[in-house]
Amino acid sequence: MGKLSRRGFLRLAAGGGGTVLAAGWGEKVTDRLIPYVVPPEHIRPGVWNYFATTCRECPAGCGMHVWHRDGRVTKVEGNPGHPINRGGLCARGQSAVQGLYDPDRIRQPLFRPKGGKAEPVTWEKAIEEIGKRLGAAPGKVKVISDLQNERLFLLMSKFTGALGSSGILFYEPLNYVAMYWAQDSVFDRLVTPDYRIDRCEFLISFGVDFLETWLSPVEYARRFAEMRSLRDGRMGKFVYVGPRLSMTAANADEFLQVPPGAERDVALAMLKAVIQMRGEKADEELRTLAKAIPDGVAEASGVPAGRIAALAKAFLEADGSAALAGPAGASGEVARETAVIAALLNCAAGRIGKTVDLSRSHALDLVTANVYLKKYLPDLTPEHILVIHNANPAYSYPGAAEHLKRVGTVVYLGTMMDETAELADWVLPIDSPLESWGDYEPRDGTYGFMQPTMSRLFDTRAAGDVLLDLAKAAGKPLWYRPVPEKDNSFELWLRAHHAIRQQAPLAEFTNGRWSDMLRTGWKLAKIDIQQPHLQSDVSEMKFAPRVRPERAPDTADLWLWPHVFLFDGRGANRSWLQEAPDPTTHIAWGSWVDVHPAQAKALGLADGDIVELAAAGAGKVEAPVRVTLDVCEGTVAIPFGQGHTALGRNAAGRGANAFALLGGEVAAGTTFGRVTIRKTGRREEITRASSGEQGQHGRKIVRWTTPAEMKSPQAAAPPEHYVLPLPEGYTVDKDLYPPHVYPEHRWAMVVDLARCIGCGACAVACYAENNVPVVGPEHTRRGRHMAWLQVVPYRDPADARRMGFLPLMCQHCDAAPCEPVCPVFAAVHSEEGLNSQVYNRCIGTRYCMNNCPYKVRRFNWINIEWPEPLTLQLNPEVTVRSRGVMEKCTFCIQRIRQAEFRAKREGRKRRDGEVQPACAQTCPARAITFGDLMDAGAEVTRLTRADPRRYHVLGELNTKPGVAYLKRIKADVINNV
Amino acid sequence: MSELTYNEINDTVLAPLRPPRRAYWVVLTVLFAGIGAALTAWIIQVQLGMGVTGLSKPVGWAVYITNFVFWVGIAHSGTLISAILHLVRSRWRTAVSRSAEAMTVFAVMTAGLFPMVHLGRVWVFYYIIPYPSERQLWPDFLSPLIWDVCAVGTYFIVSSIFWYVGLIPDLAAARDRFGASHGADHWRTRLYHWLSLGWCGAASQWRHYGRAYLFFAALATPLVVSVHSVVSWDFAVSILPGWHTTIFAPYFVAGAIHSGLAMVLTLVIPMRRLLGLQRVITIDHFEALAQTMIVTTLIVGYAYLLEPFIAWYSGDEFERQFALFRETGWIAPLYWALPLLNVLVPILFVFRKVRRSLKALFAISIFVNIGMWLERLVIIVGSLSHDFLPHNWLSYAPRPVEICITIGAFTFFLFWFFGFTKLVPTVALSDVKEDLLRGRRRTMEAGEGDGAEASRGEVRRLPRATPGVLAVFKEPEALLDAIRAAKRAGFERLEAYSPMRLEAVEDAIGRRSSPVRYWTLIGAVSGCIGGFALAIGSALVNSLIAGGKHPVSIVPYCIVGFEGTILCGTLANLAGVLWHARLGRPSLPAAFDKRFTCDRFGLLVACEANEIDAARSALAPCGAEDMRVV
Repeated sequence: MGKLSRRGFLRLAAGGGGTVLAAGWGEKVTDRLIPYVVPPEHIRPGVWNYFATTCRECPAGCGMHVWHRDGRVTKVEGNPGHPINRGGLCARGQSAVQGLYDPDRIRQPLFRPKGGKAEPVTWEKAIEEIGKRLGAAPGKVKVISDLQNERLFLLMSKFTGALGSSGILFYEPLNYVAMYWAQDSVFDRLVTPDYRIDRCEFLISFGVDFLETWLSPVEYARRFAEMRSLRDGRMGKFVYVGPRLSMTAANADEFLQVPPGAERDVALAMLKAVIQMRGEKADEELRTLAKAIPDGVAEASGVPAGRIAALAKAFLEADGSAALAGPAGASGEVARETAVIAALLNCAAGRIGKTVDLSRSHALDLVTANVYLKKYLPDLTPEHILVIHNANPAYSYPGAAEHLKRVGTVVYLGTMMDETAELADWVLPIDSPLESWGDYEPRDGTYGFMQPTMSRLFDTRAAGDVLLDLAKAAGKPLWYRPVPEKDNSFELWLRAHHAIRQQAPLAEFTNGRWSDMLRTGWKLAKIDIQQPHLQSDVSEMKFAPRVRPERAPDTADLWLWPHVFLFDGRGANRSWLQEAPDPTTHIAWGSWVDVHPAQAKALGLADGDIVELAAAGAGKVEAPVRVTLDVCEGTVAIPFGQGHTALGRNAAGRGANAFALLGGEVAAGTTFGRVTIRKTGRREEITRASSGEQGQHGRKIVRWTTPAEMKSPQAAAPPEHYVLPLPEGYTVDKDLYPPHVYPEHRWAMVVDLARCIGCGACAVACYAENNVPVVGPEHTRRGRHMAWLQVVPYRDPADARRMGFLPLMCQHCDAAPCEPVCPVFAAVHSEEGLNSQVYNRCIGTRYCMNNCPYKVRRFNWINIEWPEPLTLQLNPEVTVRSRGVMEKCTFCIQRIRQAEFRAKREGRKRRDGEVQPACAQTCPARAITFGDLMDAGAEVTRLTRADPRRYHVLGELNTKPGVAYLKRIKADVINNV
Repeated sequence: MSELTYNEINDTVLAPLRPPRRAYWVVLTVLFAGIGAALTAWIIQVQLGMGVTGLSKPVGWAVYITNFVFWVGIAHSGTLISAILHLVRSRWRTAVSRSAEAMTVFAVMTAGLFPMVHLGRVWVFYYIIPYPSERQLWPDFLSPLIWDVCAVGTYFIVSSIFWYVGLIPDLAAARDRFGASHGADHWRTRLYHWLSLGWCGAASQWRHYGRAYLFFAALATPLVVSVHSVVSWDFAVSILPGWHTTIFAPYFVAGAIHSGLAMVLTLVIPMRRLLGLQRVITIDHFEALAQTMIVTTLIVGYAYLLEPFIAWYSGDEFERQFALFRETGWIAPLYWALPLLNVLVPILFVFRKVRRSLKALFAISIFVNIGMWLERLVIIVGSLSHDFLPHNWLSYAPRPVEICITIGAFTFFLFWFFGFTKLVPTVALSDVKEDLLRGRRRTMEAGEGDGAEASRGEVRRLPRATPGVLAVFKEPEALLDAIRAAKRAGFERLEAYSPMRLEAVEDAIGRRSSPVRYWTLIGAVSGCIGGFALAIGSALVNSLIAGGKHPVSIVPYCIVGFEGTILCGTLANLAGVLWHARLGRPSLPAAFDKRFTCDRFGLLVACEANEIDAARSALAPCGAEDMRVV
C-alpha cells in the first residue's frame, strides 16, 4: 500500500471498505502545475499561441499553424491563408504532433559497432568520429534523403560537393515518376502536372486515388469538392477506372471495375475515340497516333465499346475535363504507358493550360525513380559512407537492407528507430519537423517556411546542423566565409540564404521580412512560364493491345494501394492513424487482402483466413482475407503502410509490408504484377471500428440526389421528418412538452455530404483536439472505438459501387433521447442547445448510449494510458476522462468559449463562422459548417432552412437533431452513344 | 394435512432448526466460495474498468441487467403468494408462502447488487440517491433508472417488513420451543426471544396484527404489479425497436410471476424433502402452483405471439427488420428457445399427471427458469445489438468476469436461502394452524349476542402483571365457550391467548377493528404527497432541461408518488402495529404460557383476589385442561 497520502487517507475515510480500495488505488497526484518557473517571454500561462510552419508528412507541403499552450504543442491546424491547403489538413498532417511526441522516438545518439548492440554516445563523440571518417574518405560519401528541395537540399549538395562526391538521392517510396516521365515524352517537359480539377466538368481517373494520398491530397480534396458542388444546377462528373473500390473510386459517379492494367486499355480506347471525334481539329501527330491504335483495344477490360465512346464524348464535350493516371508506387510499363495516354488524352481534348497546368514544376520532380535506386544501391561498397536522412529504404525498398549491410559506414539521421536505423552504424536523432528550421517549395513559386514550434524534447539536433558540423569536423566547412562556432547552424544558413535571395542585409532582413515570412508561413512568387507544346514525335508512339497472360486459379493480379492514413508507412507508429478506420472498409490496426468472392470460393477462403501472397522474384506477405466485390475478379489488393519490423510499439509486427511484393518481374499487361495465393490455414479476425455493415436496409441514412432531381419542383418542397431544434420545431400533435426556448444561441452544424469525400481528417482532428483515447486493436474489435466522430461509409442503394460517407458525431438533439434517461443529470441540455455530458457527474449506467439512436456516445471501458511524452499533447482545455464515464462530441465547446472570450475582449459580437470545431476546421473539402441557428444571418441558418438537400438522419424519430445533412449528389447518368 | 395436530405442525416445521449436519456446511462453504469468486471478479472489473466484460458500444447492457431483471422477476411470486392470495383468501398459499417470501427478499437483495455491478463508476453510486447534497443537485426523476431505484428499494423494504411481520408469531413459537428444550440461555432461544419482539399470541395482539397484516397485503399487492412494470419501463420508455412497446408492463409482470413461481417450485421441492416437510407441504400445494403457472404461461405465450405481430402490423421498417433479425439473426437460437422453454414446456401443466409429478414439476421449473433468464437476455441484448444504424450492429458474448458474477449471484441467493432454512421457520406455522382449524370446522361461528356484547368493549391489552385466573384449553371452541361464560359471569377484562388468529375469539371479547388503519392511511397519504413533493421540489431546484422536456414533468412523477404512498403507508402500518400490539418489548406477561404458541389456548380472566372463586366457577364447566391463579 505504501505511504498513505492525504488524499489516500481522505479516500479511505470518506467511503466504506472494498469499493474505495478497488476504485481509488493507483491514481497519481499531479505535482506540477506550470512547466516553467521562469516562462519564456512569448509564453503566457493559459494563453493559446500559434506558430506557422510547413507540414512535412508528405511531399504536398501544406501550411500549418501549430498551436501552443504553456510551451508545448497540442494541436496542428491548416494555415487558413496557405495557397495549397487553405486551412484544411489531412489526417496525417493532424498526426504530426504524435510524430513529435512519439514515445518511441530516438532520444540520444547511438553507435552500433559492427555486429554489436547500439550504445548511447555523446553528440560530440559522434560528430568527431564520423567527421574523421568523412575527411578520410573523399568522394565516398553518399546521401539518401526524403524529398527536400530548398535550403536543406542546397546544404546537402554542398555537403556532398565539399566531400568530393555527388550522389544525393531523394527517395520517396510512393512516387509519381511515371507521370513526369509521361509529360517528358509527350511535351518534353519533366514536370508533375497540376490538375485543376475544380475547373473540370468531367474527370476520369485511371486507378489514381487522388483523394487519399497522391500529389497533394488536401488540395485535390478541396478542388474535388468544388467540382462536385452544384453551380447553376451543374456539377462535375467523375468516372473512376480501376480494379478496386478505393475511397476515391467510391466517390465516383461511375466506377468501371477493370483488372489491373486494363485501365491502360480503356484510356487508350478513349484516346482513340476522342481523337476521332475531334476529327480535323485534332493535331496531326495525334491523328497519326490514333490511326495506329487498333480497334477494340479495350475489349479485354470488359468495358463495352459504347460506354467508352460515351465517356470519350463526355470528356471531349465537357467545359473542362482531365484524365489522371499514375497510381502511387507503380512504375512498370503499364503505369508509364497509362500516364502517357492520359497526357495525350488531356492534350487531345485541349486541356493543357486549362485544367492541366504544366507550367510549374513540383518538388516531386526531384524524386529519384526506383530504377536509379536499383543502380545506386549495388554501387555502395565497404569504402562508402552513406548518410540517410529521414528515409527508410530498408522497409520500403525490397533488397535495400542487404545493400546497406555492405556499406562501410551508415549514418542515419532521423527521428524514429525504423528498419533503416536498425541497420545503421550511427543513429543520430534529429529534430521532428515541428522542432526544425526549414523551408520547402512544393510547387514553383510557392514557398513554405518551417520554424521550431517548441523547444526540443530530447537530445536531438537539426539535420542541417548535423551536416554542417560533420562537414566542419571533416575539415570542409560549408560556409563561404568562416563563421563563429555558435553561428554554425542551419537556422543561420536558412536565414542568410533567404536574405541573399531578397538582396537584403542579414540584420535588417531578420528583423523585418524574415519575421513576417515566419508569421505567415508562406510566400508566393510570381513565375511566368509558358505551357509546353505537344512533341512532334508522339506520332511515332505505338500502343499495342496488351496481351494478358493466362491466370492460374491460385494466382491473381496484384493491386497495391497507399493507405489514406498510413501512406508509405512512415506514420505507422502513430496510434491515431492506426486506430483511424479505413474510409471504405472501416478496418483499423492491420493489413488485409481484398479477394473477389469467386476466387475466394475457388481457393476455399473466408473472411479472416490468412493467405500468403508471393510475387515472382520478390517477397512474400501474409495477411487476412476480406472477401469482397470491391475488388475485380482475379485481383488481390493490399494496402501499403503496415508490416514494420521496427519503428515502434504500434507499428512493429503489425500487418504485412506490401512493399515486399514490389521489385520483381511485372507480368505484361498488369500494373503491379502477379502473385500466387496460398492459404496458410491460420486465421486472424480483421479489426473493424464498426460492424462493417454498409447496406442501408431501406433506412435512408445517406441520401442521394441528382442535378436533374434538384431542378424538379419536388425539390423545393419542405423535407419530410425535418424538425429544427428551435421553438419553431414544436408541433402540437407530436410534442407532449412545450417548445424549448433558447435565450441567445442554438449551436448547430450542417454537413454537406456532397462535399465529404470520407478522408477521415475530421475524426483525427477530433482525437487531437478532444483528448480522445486510443483503445488498441482488441478493444476496437470489440466495439469500444472511442472516436467522437466517425465517418461511416454507406452504399448507395441504387448502386453498391457508390458510397456515401456520413460524418457522424453527436447530433445535439433538442429532444435528445439520451438526456432524460440519465438518473443523475450527467446528460443535460445547455442553454445554448448543446447536449452536454458532465463527466464528473456521470456514474456510468450507459443508458444514454443505449438510448442514442445514432450510438455516438462513447463509454470509457478501460483505463487509458498515455505513454510519455504523448501526455504533453493533451489539450489542457479538455478533461481527460477516466474509466467508467460516458463521453461524446461537445461541438468543441472549448472553442465556442474561446471565441466568446475573444469577442468579449474585443467588445464585439461573435461573428458567424468564428467558431470552428476541430472537425470543421480541418476538413479539406469544407464539408462542415458550424454556427448559431439563432443568428438570422448565419450560414447554418440559411442551409438548414433553405437548402433543398437538407435532411436529418433518422428524422422520423423526432429527436430534432442539431446536425443537419445535405444530400449527396450524384451526377446525372451519361447515356451511351 | 388434516391428520396433523398443532403440536405436530410445530414439530415438523421447527425440527429443521436443529444444528445442521456436515453436508449443510459443505454446501454453505461452496456457496460462500462462489460469492468470494464473484467478489474477486467484481473487484477486477472495478479496477480495470468495464472493458473486462463483453459489453460494447451498441450492447451497453447485457448479462448484468439480465440478472437484475431476472432476480426482480423471481422476487415477484413471493409477494404475489403472500399478499394477493391473502387478499383473495386463497387457502393453498400458506404452506409455501413463507419460503416464497424469503425467496422474494433474497431475490431482491440479489437483484439489487446488479445495478451496482453494472455501474461504470460504482464508487459514486450515491449520486443516484435523492438526498440534499452540498452540490445542490438532485437525481432526475424523469429517468427510469430512478424509478427503478424507487420501485425496487420500496419493494425490498416492503417485502422485508411483510416477511418479518409474518414471521413474528412463528419466531415466538420457536422461542418457546427452544426455551423448553434448550433452556432460556441458549443462543437460539435468545435470538428468537429478541426477534419475536415479545409476541405472546394474546388476542389484543392478534387484533392489531391481523388488521395490519391485511393492510400490508393491500399495500404490497399494487406494488407487486408495479415493480416489474417499472422495470419494464427501463426498456419501454426508450426508443429502441423491440424495447419501445406498450405491452411491456403486463408482459414483464406476467413473466416475472411465471419465473417466480418456477423458482418457488425449484426451491421448495428439494427443501421440502431435505427438511422433511412432506406432511405440511403437500402435492396439492404444488398442483395449485402449477395451475397458477398455466395462467402465466398463457399470458407469456400471448406476448410472444403479439410482439412479432405488432412489429409487422405497425408497418414500421425498423420494427419489422428487428423482428426479422430476432427470428433469423445471430440471436435466433436463443430467441426460438423462449417459446419452447417458457410456453410449450410449462403448458404441459394442463395435464394433471404432470402437475402432480414432483419430478416433472421440478424439471419444468428448471426449464422455465432458464427460459426466463434467456428471455431477458434476448430482449436486452437483441434490441441493443441491432438498432437504427447498421454500422453500429454488433453481437455480444459474455466474458469470464460476467459469467463469474452471474454464477456468484446464484450462490449469493442460495446462500441466503440455505441460511434461512436453518434459522427461521420455513412454513408459516400460525397460518397453517389457522387453515387446519378452518379445515376441521368450516367456520367458528360467532355466538348469538356476541356482537352486542362486543359493542360494550374492545379487545384491550391488559397490563403485564394483571392478576387473575388463567385457564388453558385444548380446543379453540372451549376457549370461546369460556369467554362467553366469563362474560356472562360479569367479567369484562379478559385476555385470550392462541397460537393462531381467532377472529371469533376477538368478536367474543369485544370490538376488533384496529386503530392501525389510521396510521396506515396517514402514512400512505403523506407518502404520496411526499413523493410528488420530492420530485417536483428537486426538479425546481435543478431546473435542468433533459430531452426537451419541461423541468417539471408531472406524468413520470406519479411513479415517485406511488412508491412514496406504498413505502410510507407500509412503514406507518408497521409503526402502528408495533405500537398498538406493544411489540418491541421482549418481556412476556405473567400469564403467558409457552404452550400458547404451540397448541394450547388460554384465557385470562382478570380479577381481584376476592373474585377468584367466582371466576373459577364461571370457567369450570368449559373443560379447561388446567386452571391457575396468576
